[in-house]
Amino acid sequence: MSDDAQLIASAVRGDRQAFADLVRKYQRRVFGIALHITGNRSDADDVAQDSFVKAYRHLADFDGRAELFTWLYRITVNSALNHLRGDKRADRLARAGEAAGAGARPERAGSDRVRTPHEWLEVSERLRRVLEEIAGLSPVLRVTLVLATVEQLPYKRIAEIMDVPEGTVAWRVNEARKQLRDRLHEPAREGEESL
Amino acid sequence: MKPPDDRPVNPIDRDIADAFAALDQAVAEVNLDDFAARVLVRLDQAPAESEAEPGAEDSGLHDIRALASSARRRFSERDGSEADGDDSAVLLTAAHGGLRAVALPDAGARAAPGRGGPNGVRTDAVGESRRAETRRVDARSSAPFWILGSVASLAAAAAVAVFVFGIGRDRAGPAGEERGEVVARAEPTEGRPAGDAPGGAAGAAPGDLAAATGADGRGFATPPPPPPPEPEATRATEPDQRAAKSARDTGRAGGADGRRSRLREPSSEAKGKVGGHGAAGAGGPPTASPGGEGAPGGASSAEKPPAGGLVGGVEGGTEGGVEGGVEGGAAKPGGGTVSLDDMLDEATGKRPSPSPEAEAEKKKKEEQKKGLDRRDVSKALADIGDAVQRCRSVENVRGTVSVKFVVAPGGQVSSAVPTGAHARSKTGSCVARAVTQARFPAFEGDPISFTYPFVLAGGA
Repeated sequence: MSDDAQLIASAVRGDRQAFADLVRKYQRRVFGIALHITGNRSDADDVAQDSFVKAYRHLADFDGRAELFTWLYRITVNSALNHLRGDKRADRLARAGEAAGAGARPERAGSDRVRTPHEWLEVSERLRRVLEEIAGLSPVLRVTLVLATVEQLPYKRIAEIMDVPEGTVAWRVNEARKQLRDRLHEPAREGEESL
Repeated sequence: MKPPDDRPVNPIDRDIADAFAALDQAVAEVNLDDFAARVLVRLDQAPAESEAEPGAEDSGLHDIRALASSARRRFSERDGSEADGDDSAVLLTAAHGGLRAVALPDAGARAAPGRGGPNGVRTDAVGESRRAETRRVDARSSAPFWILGSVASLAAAAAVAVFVFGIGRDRAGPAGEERGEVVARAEPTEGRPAGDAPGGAAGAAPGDLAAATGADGRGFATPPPPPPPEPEATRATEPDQRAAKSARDTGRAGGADGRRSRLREPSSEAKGKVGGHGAAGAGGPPTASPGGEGAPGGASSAEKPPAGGLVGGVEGGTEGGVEGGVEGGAAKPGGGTVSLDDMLDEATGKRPSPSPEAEAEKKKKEEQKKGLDRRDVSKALADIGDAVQRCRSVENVRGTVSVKFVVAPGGQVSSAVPTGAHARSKTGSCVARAVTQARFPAFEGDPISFTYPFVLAGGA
């Protein structure tokens, strides 16, 4: 019996500590998926917590045929989708670039060469824009795109996770790319500073 | 991240990958130490929540709850020490106080028994900051007793003069007696709020010098006396007139009530004076109804026969009381437009007016940027240009010195380290020291790190 299986069995019997161990083991990956889909830390934290709560409630239904993380992955994606559909706050776009703006270090995302502040700011602005435009996609397109291009999942697996045919996944990915490309090539919106 | 085997790499995917790599950096920096604990807490809190209402997410109910919750929190925060944790009570109190303050003119509010605001602060005070109100209350409580004493003495002297010189006896009819009685009754009502005086006449009669001269210390509902149109009125004693003047002056100074009245009637200066005259014609209770005109009151008291003076005075005082407040407000220095929200807040004493420092702090916070843009960086680095260039003389070095520095959200440079060829040179250290003097605009978020190549060039 694997570690996960033991922990799951204990958690199903009501051992909270065992479940806490499972959470600790997968929290960063689950949080990462949630962050990729929601685009900001606050929502990602919500979604990740929500996913683990759902997982705990349905832990007894987990049959062990797939890996636990795959199961968690699916729960997280669906939680994030629900979150996006239910959350229509107007500042979503603004918050989407939070990490690329001040939180993250774009210099690490690109090449390792020394950047001047101007270059740094241009990279930052570019990444912020990309994240904003991804956040502007419909929830379904966004999630599909993230799973395909960021999580690097095969279409087949994405189809399983999202419970749609593989062809639909392919169409969504292409459509998301097309929309993103169009939006990124648009001139900067009014009020945005072009760097 | 390697691309899947069955798909070509799309150019747009590079941008996406870079953007999400930045996001991943953010993930790496997020502290998830207590995440498991929070999940367990949520497990304990949420068991019924999502299963009972599976569609709650999209129902919009959460928005309403959030709104209600934030409103309660707002009231609780305003309430400060007055709140005992019962938010609904706070809400009720606030609404009640607000309606009272808006619907009733000051005089009526004062006359209403048991309507004092929390902590003894008058809830009918509208228009000035709470701090100013508190000061006023203090001044009132530390009552200028010498004023009261001198006023009482003047009243007594006037009464004696009237008696000695027989003026009082010459008065025809009972009106003079009424006035005399009022003057005499002034002493027992000293220092009491106008609204506490028994009966309208005693509360604001012209003879009630204590009330007229401002034991209250603020805008008076009782306006000053008019120029006497009838012989009866000309017999008004000098103290009466002085008291009236004082009341008029005090009424101008008193801002709270007046400012409320001013909202009701912007061009109330003239009306206020007329109203004041009307009230002073015979006085009356401060229980004025909204919209009362001072002029009719004055006219009635002036035109009525002496026997009806008291009745006319009651009307005049009643109506003039409102306009007296108007006058006070209109003449209040610096009186500006007050929003309904401010009035409610002031009336319920829920929100202390922010101090200038707090306002400045708030403004500063609002002005904080989300990050630094090119102009900010250029300007901050240009400001230290001279200091950087002075580093040439350390080792007589020309060329580029790269410095990696971190700008804290406060705008100050939290660290600066020379990199590259000058990582360990004195010149590099000198430039790094100069960089620490740079000041950037404050911004929100995490510290930002830069690596900047400073060029040391030019003549010796």
